[in-house]
Amino acid sequence: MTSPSRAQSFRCEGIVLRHRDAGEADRFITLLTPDRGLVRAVARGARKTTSKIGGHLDLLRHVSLTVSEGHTFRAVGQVEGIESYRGLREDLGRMSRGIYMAELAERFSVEDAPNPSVFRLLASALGLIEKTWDGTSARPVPAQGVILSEAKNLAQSSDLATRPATDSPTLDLLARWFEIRILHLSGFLPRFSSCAECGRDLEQRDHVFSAERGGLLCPDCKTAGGGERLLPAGVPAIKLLRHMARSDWPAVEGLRVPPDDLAQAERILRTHLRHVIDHKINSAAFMDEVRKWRNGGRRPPLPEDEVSG
Amino acid sequence: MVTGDPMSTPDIAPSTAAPVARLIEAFHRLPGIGPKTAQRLTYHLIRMPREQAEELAESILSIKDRIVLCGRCQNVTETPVCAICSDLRRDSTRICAVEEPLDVVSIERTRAFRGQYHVLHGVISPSNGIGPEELKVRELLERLRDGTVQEIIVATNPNLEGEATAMYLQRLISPLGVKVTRLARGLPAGADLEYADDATLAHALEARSEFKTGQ
Repeated sequence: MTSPSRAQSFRCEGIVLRHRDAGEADRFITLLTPDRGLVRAVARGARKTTSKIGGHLDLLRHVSLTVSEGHTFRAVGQVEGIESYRGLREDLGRMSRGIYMAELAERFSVEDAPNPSVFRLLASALGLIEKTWDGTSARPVPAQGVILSEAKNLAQSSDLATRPATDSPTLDLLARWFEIRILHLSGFLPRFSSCAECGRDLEQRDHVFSAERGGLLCPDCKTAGGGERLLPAGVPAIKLLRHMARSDWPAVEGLRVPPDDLAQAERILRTHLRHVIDHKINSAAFMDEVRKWRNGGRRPPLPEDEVSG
Repeated sequence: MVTGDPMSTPDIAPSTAAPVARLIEAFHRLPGIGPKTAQRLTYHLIRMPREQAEELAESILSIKDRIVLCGRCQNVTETPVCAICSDLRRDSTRICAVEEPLDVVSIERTRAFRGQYHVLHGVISPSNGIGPEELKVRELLERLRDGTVQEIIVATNPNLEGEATAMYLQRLISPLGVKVTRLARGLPAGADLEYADDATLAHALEARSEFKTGQ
């Protein structure tokens, strides 16, 4: 019997996460596929203007393709486009978030290891980026998100549609939801309901978060160890994190989250992601810069805003 | 099957003489040179007459010693200001911003542009940690200070990173009152509609033009 990885060629679908020029007109690409995780292959002649495959193999394109095994590298054969996420490509704010999500998906995937859930998450999130209101134009879909009892306290009385045109709350919320879902799917979701140190259920009050210990800490355990970073976690941010950890996007997108609470949730998730990945998230800086611009030059939330125990 | 990083060290036999191995590794670090090509070039050089090898070595050293970036357009040149920037017949109100020096050569070949250039030396590539501050964007803004420039033509490649760079420049420069335009996108000559991707086809449809009459 021949295993799939030893077959001479295989057909798969994938999203292009990375590419690099090679040779006269070739391009090395890295794809995230559902059945084989990361697949790296060379697309010969892809940089020629008359290439039949080059146009399909740009970053963040969802394609169906054949890949043949070679002595040195895998090679891309036929390619058909499935989704180009065109709306994402024509707006810097959406594009920067899509690139950020793609980098996270790559960091949580390995070569030749099936990862269908992360693939589906990325594919759906890129589609959502296209459709999600960015706060700068008329809202395409009325806010119909489910506001659960726990999340009701997050709601502000103001209508989202009347927010300042420089804000982009829903896209930020989508990025946070993606972060928490990819942590969940990869088994790295922090503990938000019980103390990460002693396991006791947490009371409804402000707590602190430790990436090193993997979650929120109760008052008895919150003393920081040597070099440990403790982040503040207020009640609204904790409720938001808990809600997002167990919800699909339709139950999240309608939430009206005050910017400070969203920023606090972001600091917690960003710090935790960096701890889990153990590597800088390269595309975060550009995403923050684009967002800062959109927000009229306001300083974006930074992970460094920490407290000591 | 091997799917390792193509930039990894080439597989050199332990019995290979040290200077040969060193040159193979040096070639392999160049863009587009795989392990086999690196070996082929090295063994070709071994057979090459000494004068030719010396000429090659001197050429490599001279580009390191004598080539500088033009103080205005950042293109590679031998003089503080390059030939295009010094040419008074060129239109100084239009600047074409390109990714790499080779892109200047490509556009010059068309003879369709008589303005000046600005070489960014790369594109914004967030996942590789390359942001605007790694490019020659600040130098481009400096050129807009005296108010001569009326249009920036962004000629970055029509891919995601090229678009990100173009949109970034548009956001940065438009508020300064300078027109920012982008190269048109569509089907290349010799292409086949059947194989065109949907985004390219959509752009081609949107930017369709009437037949020019009287020519």
